[in-house]
Amino acid sequence: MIYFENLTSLSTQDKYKFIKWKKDLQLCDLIMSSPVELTIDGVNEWIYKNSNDANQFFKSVVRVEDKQVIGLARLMFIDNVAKHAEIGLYIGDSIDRSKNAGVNILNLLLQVAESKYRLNKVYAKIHEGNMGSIRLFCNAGFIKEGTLRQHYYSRISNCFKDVYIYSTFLK
Amino acid sequence: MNSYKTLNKQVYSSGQYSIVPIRMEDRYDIMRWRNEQMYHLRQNKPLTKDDQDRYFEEVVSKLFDQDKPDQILFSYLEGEKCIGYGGLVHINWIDRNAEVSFILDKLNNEYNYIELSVIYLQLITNVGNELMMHKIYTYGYDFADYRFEPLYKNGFQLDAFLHEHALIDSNLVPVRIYSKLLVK
Repeated sequence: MIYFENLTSLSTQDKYKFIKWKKDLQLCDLIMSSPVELTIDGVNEWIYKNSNDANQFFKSVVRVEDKQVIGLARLMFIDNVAKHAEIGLYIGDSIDRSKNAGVNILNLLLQVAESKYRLNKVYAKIHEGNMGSIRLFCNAGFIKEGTLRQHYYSRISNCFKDVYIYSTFLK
Repeated sequence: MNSYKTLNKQVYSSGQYSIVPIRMEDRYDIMRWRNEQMYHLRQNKPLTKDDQDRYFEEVVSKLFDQDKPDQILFSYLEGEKCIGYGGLVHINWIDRNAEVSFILDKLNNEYNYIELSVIYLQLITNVGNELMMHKIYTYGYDFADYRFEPLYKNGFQLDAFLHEHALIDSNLVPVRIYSKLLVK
């Protein structure tokens, strides 16, 4: 099981995990993010900026059993008018990815989207090569609404990848 | 005339129509068009002259000297008369894509809208090519079919149809995303 915690309360040790994850080429490629080399100050700035974004739910993912921070969960671009948001999540270390944690994070995020923000719809953008996330969202009942052709340039594959939009309605 | 550091060519023309780096003198026409057509823009309150002056001073004026601005805006001219404005926004220099935006004077009827939009899209495609973009795309609310015709005429394809994605007049309406891959 997992729970969410504010990143502002992270220990220095846990901040170093994010420093590692944010420059991890494989992870960054999965989540379509540019790898960056951050210092502790840089991580603090990143946490401050995102934690204070009124249109974002931005939390670390903590495993209940050992209280280890294993990833990140967020609702982004929360649209309080049209009542939708983009879901983003990752588990930092591959060793933690095969233990149902993804399902637990997604389910908890869906609960937050519905109970805290009263959203009508959530969606995720996933590139064609991220089969783990495609499986995760399909199994949770998300439907593919479109394909953004060649929308992401993968530095690992050195080619443009299609990006799928998966969505689900909450009510 | 303003000029964008990021572009070698500043003026893109087709017959009597052209797009030029956005002109200060067009700002209040642009404000009026945006306010008249708020219903299909991502704008939730009418702009005032002060808002517009501030935006041009704090945002637009800084775009010209940047190597990699996040948007470049143009006035759309018929001769010397401004008939619309738009540009490439949300420019992603890493994945080399950008969103096409534009708005025309509301006085244009449906026929004119299509004709003028087709020309505008040709011109902004040329800008995308000069910036070495891989792809350009645009969003539109799904309640005015004729607005999509110019996209098809310019080789855009429907990438996504997002259900219940925008709230217009208390109704949730779909949003369409169209894109065009650019020639190398």
